[in-house]
Amino acid sequence: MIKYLVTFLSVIAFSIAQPQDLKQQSEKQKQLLEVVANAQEFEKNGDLNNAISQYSKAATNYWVNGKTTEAKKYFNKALELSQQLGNTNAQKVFRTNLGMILLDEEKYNEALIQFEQSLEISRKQKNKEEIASTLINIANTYTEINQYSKALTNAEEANRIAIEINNDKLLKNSYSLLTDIEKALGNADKSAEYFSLYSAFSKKIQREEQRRKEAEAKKMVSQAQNQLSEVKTQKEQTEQELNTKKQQLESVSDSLEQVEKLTHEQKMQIDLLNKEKALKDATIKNQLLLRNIFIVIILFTIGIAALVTYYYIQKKKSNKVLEEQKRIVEAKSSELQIALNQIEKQNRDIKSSINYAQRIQQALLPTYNNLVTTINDAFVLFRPRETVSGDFFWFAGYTGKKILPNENTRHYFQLHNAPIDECGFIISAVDCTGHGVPGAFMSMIGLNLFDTLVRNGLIQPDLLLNEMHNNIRHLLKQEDNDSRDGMDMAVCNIKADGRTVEFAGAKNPVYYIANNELNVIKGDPVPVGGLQKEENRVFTKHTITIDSPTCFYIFSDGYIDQFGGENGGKFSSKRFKELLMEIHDLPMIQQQEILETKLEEWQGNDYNQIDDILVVGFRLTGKPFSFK
Amino acid sequence: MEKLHVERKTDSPEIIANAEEGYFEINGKSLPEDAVEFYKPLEKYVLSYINRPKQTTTINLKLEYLNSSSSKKLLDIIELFEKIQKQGYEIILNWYHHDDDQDMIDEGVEFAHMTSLKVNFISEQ
Repeated sequence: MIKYLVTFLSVIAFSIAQPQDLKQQSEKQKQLLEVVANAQEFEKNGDLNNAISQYSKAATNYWVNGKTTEAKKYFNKALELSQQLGNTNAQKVFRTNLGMILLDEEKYNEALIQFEQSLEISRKQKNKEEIASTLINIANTYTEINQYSKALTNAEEANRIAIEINNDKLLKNSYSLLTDIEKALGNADKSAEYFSLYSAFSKKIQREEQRRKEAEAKKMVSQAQNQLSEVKTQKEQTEQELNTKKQQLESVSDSLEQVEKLTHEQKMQIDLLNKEKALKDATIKNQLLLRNIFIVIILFTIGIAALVTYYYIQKKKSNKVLEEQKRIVEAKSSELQIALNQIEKQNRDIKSSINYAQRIQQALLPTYNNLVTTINDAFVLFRPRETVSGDFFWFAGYTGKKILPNENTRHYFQLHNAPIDECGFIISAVDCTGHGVPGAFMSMIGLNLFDTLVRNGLIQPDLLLNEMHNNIRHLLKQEDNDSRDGMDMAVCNIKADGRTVEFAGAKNPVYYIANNELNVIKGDPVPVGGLQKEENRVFTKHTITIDSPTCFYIFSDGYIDQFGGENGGKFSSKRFKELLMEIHDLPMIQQQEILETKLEEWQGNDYNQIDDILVVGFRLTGKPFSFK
Repeated sequence: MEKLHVERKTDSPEIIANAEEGYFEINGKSLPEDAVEFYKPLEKYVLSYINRPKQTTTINLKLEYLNSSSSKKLLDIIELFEKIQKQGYEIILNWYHHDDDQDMIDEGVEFAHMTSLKVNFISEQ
């Protein structure tokens, strides 16, 4: 394994090394071929000296590289050309070289030919060193082929010439040769003698060589030292120069740098200044802006504060005013509240006293029952404007002494100053001056007078009014003052036969509808009570005879004068008459309902009742009272 | 003498009294709660007027309604003019009424009955 690896590695190493060697060899080969080509070129052109030189060069190179064949070939070529030129020196050198090559190839005879011819040229030139050197070569060759006597002859001649020219090298080589030859010839003493001579010259040559080499070395060292010192000096000089230049440069560069630095600094300073200025400007601008903003903000704040303060003060003021007003209002309102409470109390008191008064008034008024027991079909529409009324109605049945009271006549007045067979029913609607409390006061008088007078037998309406007039004037002392307080009224006296109605009116009429015809009997144009210009106030009696069912209506002016409708006008007697004409066939109680409804419709929501309202209606059929 | 003028109200009439011209007018509805109190200014004015009356006095009554107490107070005032008529001054008393207002005509008739003054009935549309 290891063996294979080594082989493998060797192969690799070879393959790496080989191309390099091959390359070098091929390069050398190429160069040699070029040299040969040059030599041939020179030879062709007749430049034989250069051709010899080139052939010689090529041959020497081939010889060095061991290619003896090529070396012999080109040395022979050079020898041939040297013979043509007659250059013996060159012939001698080329023959010696050829002899050396042939000697190495052990072609001793051919070598001896070349050495002999070279020796001949050297003898001709009388060059002793060359002769000796060539004789040594010939002696060496004879030694190789064991012809020691010839060798000895040539060697002794070379030795003599060497001694003659005192050439140490030749002496050493000739003694070495003689040592070997004498040893071969069996002359040991001579051989030893020559050996010692050889050794001496060999040592001498070595010493001289040594010396020469040392001197040469010394020379080379000193030369080198000289050169070194020179170089050193130069180097130093250069360094100095360099330093100087460097210093100069440095100083220049320094100054440049300084200048640059200065410039830069200045620039920086200027920049800085500019920047500072800009900054300053900006700062100032900023400060200005800030100041302005600040001022604006302050002004704004002050403005707002002022506004707020102003409004606050105003509000405070107004609050104060309001509070004052509130206080006043509260005080007033509390005053008012007190007053209101007082008023309410008074009102309550008045109301309760009026309510009480109303009870008295109502107690005095005759009951509806008393009416309908005698006159079945009848109504009393009584609507005082206030709790107590200035309007009132009065009715009562009456009988003379002849007629004894029964179930129906229980409430009838028993007349004293009247015919004993007299019997009838008096019914009246009265409108006293004013309404409310003053009206009610008047009504008290009226109600009382009715009772008193009728009881005293005054059943004839006109006479009744006359007497009532006198009584009121008397009671209210109207003979002595200008008081006009009194009553408007209508009085009907219904005879018990049921066919006769007597009527008298003080300013107020009676309406009656018979046979679908409405009749009006006006009362006298004067009231009961009040001013009296005439000597005697005499009322007029009207008598109505009933042939068919007849409805009678007596009333105060409250219904007719009530404002309302679309234009706020009075209901009017005209409209009243028309309404009665429409409804008179209905039962009286239904007529009352319609009258009330129509009145409310007329008033609507916009018109208050202006006066007490009283309408009394009754229907007579012409039949006598049932109890008679 | 300065003029007297009372504005018309819902329950009281307008009153115009001009002594310089001898002119008196009552115009509207008369149903005040207290008629005596309401007519007092007019009554006073007339009382002072009758001391220095004009030769001719015109009284225009243009009433749509008057309640009984107003009616009575009005008669009191009219009575004052009766006095100067007896002294030889001329009194013209006009009772205005709507054409078809029979109630006010009746009222006027009754009113006329209560005074010695001649009452002229003037119908208006």
